Amino acid sequence: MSSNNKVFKIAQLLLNQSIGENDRVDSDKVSAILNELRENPPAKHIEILKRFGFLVRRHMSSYQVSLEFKGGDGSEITNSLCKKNFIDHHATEVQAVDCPSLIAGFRVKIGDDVYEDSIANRLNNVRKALL
Amino acid sequence: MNSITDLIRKEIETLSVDASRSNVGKVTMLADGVARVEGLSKVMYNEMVEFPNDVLGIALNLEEDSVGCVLLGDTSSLKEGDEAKTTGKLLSVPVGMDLLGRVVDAAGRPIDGKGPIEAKEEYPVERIAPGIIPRKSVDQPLQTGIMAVDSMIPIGRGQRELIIGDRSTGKTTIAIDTIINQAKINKQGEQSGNKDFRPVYCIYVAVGQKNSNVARTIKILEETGAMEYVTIVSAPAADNPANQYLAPYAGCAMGEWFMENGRDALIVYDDLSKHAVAYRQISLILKRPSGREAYPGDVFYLHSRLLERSARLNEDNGNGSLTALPIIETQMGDVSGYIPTNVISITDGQIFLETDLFNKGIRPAVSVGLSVSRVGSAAQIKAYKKVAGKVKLELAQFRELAAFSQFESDLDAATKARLDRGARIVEMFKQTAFNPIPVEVQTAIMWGMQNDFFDSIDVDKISEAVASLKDYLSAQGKEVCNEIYKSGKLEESTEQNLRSALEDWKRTFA
Ligand SMILES: Nc1ncnc2c1ncn2[C@@H]1O[C@H](COP(=O)(O)OP(=O)(O)O)[C@@H](O)[C@H]1O
Ligand SMILES: [Mg+2]
Repeated sequence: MSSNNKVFKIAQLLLNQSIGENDRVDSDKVSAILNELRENPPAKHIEILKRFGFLVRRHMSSYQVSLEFKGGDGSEITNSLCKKNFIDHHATEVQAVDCPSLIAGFRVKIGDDVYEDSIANRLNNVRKALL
Repeated sequence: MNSITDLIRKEIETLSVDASRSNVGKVTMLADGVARVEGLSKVMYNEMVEFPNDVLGIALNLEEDSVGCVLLGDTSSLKEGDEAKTTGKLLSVPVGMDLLGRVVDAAGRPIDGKGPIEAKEEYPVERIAPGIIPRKSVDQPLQTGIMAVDSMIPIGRGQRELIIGDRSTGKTTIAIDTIINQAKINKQGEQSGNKDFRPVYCIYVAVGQKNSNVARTIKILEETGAMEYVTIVSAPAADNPANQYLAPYAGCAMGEWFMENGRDALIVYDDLSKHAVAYRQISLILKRPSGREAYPGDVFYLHSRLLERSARLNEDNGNGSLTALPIIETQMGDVSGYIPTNVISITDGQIFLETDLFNKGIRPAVSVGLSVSRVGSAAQIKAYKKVAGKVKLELAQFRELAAFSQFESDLDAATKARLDRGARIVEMFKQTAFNPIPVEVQTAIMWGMQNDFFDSIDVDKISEAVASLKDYLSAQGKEVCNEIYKSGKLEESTEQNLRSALEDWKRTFA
């Protein structure tokens, strides 16, 4: 358990060192860290890398917003979601994709939180209520 | 048709407020009814999690970067990479009178082909046990109908009494007998028109048993007319470990409904050894650290939080009760295993069944020395207490004397009398399966034993004599039994009537 804790601590330190402007993960810093680790491999190299990868992914997902939508215009929907305080334009990178399976509406994913208002989701809820 | 359109409208109304919010994760591992999910950072312990194709899971193991979920129902459609979604709800099961007479699975869904269950209420399967203040000490009997148990190890409503023994020592039989006896008492009480009569409803939770065993139990309960007071929760061995893990909690929620609505209920967990094994399996798949006998560290909590929910509530809280009969299967009579010692420490006593006794034909194979009930004697009815008070001591002395005196040829008269009495009590306590004896009949039989009615009968004829007395008491001797049933006491006049009834019987038997 304590060696596990060490891995967690080191990985967290590496993450802290990878963060650049605007609290974003900086790819140059990440590659520098990876090079350094390759040249001077620490004990539990793989475990540390795995944990580091997880932390980076988690950190990035906190500001990378995925927006799936059908109908309307991606940037318009983004703007209206910002107005409703669903997302913060300055803190996030919004990636909008057209998603026909929603039928109509949108689905925003921020980290592991999902906000959805779509016909597909409503139909699914109705179907479950009728089961 | 109208109700369907209403339903749709209502659903849309609730939705149109705003976007629905959920917390999601991705399945990274699937095995044996267990899923590991990455993400779900806002899930609560025991929250229901939704998977594709309407598969439901329960968050059981919350770690920093992943969540371990047990999955309910058919999980064959799931694959790694599927999305899992929080629901904000705890797993609930239907509760109430509509469940009586039914067989359901761990999620409370009917599996007896008798159509849907129209329950008006649902209870979450995991709940906090009542605290000390709403509780009351045990003071009402729960008669098993088994003479050896009712006389020496009496059980009260709200008590938790463990049934423990090796395989095939009659553990299930004792539990089923008790259920049959409740049904008998319920029917008798309903017929008596006594307004204060409180029926006992029963829940039988079958965990990790063979389907054929469960089917046999259902058949017996149906044949004896007990099923109308019983709900069976079944998670057989073929079921995935998640369902086996959940079934006792689901059954407990159903029992709690009775308790909290001012009624009395009895729940049998058959058995908690298999429950612990299912939990161990889940924990090993989730790679939780394991300890003694490879069980995870919180296995004690697994059973303590379950059994703690059995209680007797006080008048301010409706006076209801939930009595628990957990069953534990031992290996070669070893009660010092991890799970047996845990459960022994949680319960209010145990009925210990011995293979040796069972094989010698002493059935039910109750070990007098190792069985105790720490609270139940406060609940025995007066008449019964009067005749049963000495019997445990007499039997214990007999066992001791019998061990010492087996090589002696000339015994003094007092010792011989004790041995004779003990041998007859052993015979009196022999009882076939699924034949519970009403408490008033037990009282009469034991009164006969205390008053020397069996002394002149050969030891090997005692079983026959008891059977014949039982028949007599349910026919010609009915009146005196009724007297005991109604008053619950042995007044002098009742004893006189008993004496003349037994004298009458003795003439016919001899
Ligand atoms: N009092 C009894 N008299 C006769 N047979 C009994 C008695 N109790 C149990 N049996 C029989 O013994 C067998 C095992 O009983 P069971 O209750 O299933 O044991 P367990 O649950 O301990 O494995 C069954 O066939 C049952 O009918
Ligand atoms: Mg059994």
